[in-house]
Amino acid sequence: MFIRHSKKMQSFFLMSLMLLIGFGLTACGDSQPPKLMKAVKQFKSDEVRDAHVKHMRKNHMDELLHKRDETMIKGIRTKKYSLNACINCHVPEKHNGEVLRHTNPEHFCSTCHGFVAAQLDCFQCHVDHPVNSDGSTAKAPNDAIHKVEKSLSVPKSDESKKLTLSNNALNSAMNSAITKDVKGESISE
Amino acid sequence: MSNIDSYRRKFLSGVAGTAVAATVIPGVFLREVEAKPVGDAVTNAVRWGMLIDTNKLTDGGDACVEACQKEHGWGNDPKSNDAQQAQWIRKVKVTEKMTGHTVSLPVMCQHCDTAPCVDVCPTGASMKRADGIVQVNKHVCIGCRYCMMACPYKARSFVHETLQDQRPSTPRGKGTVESCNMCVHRVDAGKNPACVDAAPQAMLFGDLNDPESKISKALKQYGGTQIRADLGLNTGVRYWGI
Repeated sequence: MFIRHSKKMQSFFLMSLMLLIGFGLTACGDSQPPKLMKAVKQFKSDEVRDAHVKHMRKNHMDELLHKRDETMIKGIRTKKYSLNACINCHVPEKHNGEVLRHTNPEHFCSTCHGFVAAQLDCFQCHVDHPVNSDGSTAKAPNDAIHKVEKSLSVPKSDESKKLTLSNNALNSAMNSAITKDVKGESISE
Repeated sequence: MSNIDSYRRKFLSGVAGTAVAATVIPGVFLREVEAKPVGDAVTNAVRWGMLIDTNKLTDGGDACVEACQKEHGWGNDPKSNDAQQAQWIRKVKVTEKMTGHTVSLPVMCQHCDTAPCVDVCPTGASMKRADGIVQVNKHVCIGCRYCMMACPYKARSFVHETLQDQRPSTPRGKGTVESCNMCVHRVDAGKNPACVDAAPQAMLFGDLNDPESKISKALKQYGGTQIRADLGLNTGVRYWGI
C-alpha cells in the first residue's frame, strides 16, 4: 500500500515541507525588534540621538564593562556610560503605578534581553529603577511591612480593629527595622 | 589648579581659620575633604583615614551604625537570620578586666595599608584603591569568603540572599562579600563618610598623607591607637580613648 501511494505521498510531503518553509520565512521577515520604552532625556538633535542609539545598541555592554572598572578601581565617576545614569534616563520611576523592575518584560533592558535570550546580570546587585538621592521614593515595598500585612488575619468586617492592629504591627516593624539593635560583642583584653 | 582657584582656596581657608579660632571650641573638628575632579583617577598622593574619639561618642556609636545602614541599605535583608545579616559597622564593647573600665567603639573595616583580605583573595576582588580605601569589587568576587576569614577585625559580611532595591551607589548582591568602603562614592564626591557626618563631634576624616590635614596634625600631636597594632597592618582607622 505504501509502495502504491508512494508518489502521491512524496508530493504531498514535499508540498507541505515547502509550505512550512515558506511560512517560516515569512515569519522571519516579519520579525521586528521589540518596541522599547521611551527615554526621558531629550537630545539636542535627531542626529545626536540616532548616533547614541546606533552606538549603544551595538556597544553598550563594552562601554558598561569599561566604565565599571574605571569606576570601581580608579574612582572615575563621570555620568557618561554610568549604569545609574542609564537607568535614571531609560527607566521611569513608576510604571502603571508600580515600581518597574527588571523582572517585568517592559523594563527597558529586559525587553531586548528577553527577546534575544541573553542573561541580564547587572541587576543581581545594582538597583533596576531610579531612586531619589534620599532613597525615599521607589523605596521598595519594605519586606518587613509586607510580611506583617500578610500575616495579619483579622476578619474584614472589623475594620477599626484591623486598622489599629496593622498600625501597631507596622509601627513596631518600622521601629525594629530602623533601630535594629546591633549586637555588641565583648572582647576582653 | 588655576592661580585664581588656589588664591581663592588660600583666602577662604584663611577666613575659615580665623572664624574657627574665634568661635569653635577646641576639639571640635570641621570637614576637610576635598573632591578630586570627577574625571580623574584616584592617586596614592592621598591616603584616606579616620580618627575616632570614643570618649566623645556619647551613644557609643549607635548614630554611626544607623547612618551606615541608611547610606548603604544593609542590616534588613528579609530572609537572613541575625547571624547572616550583613554588618558593615558594629559596636564593640571592650572591658578591661582589672578595672572594669568599659569602652564602646564602632568597628568597621580598618582600611589596612597591608590588608590581609587583599592578600588572600584568589580573584583580585578584594582590593585596595590607590587612595587607601579597601573594598570588594563584586564584579569579580566569587564569594569564597577567604577574606572574611583573613580579616582580623571581622569586618566583612556575606550576602546570603537575592536582594532588590539596593541603594544606587551601593550595589549589593547574593553570593558576594561586602564591607565598609569608607563611603567611597561620597569621598569621590568630596563628602565625608556617612558615619563621620553622623558623629562629627567624635570622628574626623581626612588625608593621612598630608601633614597639614587636621587628622594628621591631631595624630601627630596626640597619637592614635590601632586595634591589634601588633599585626603591623598600618590601619587607616585610628582611635582615641581605647
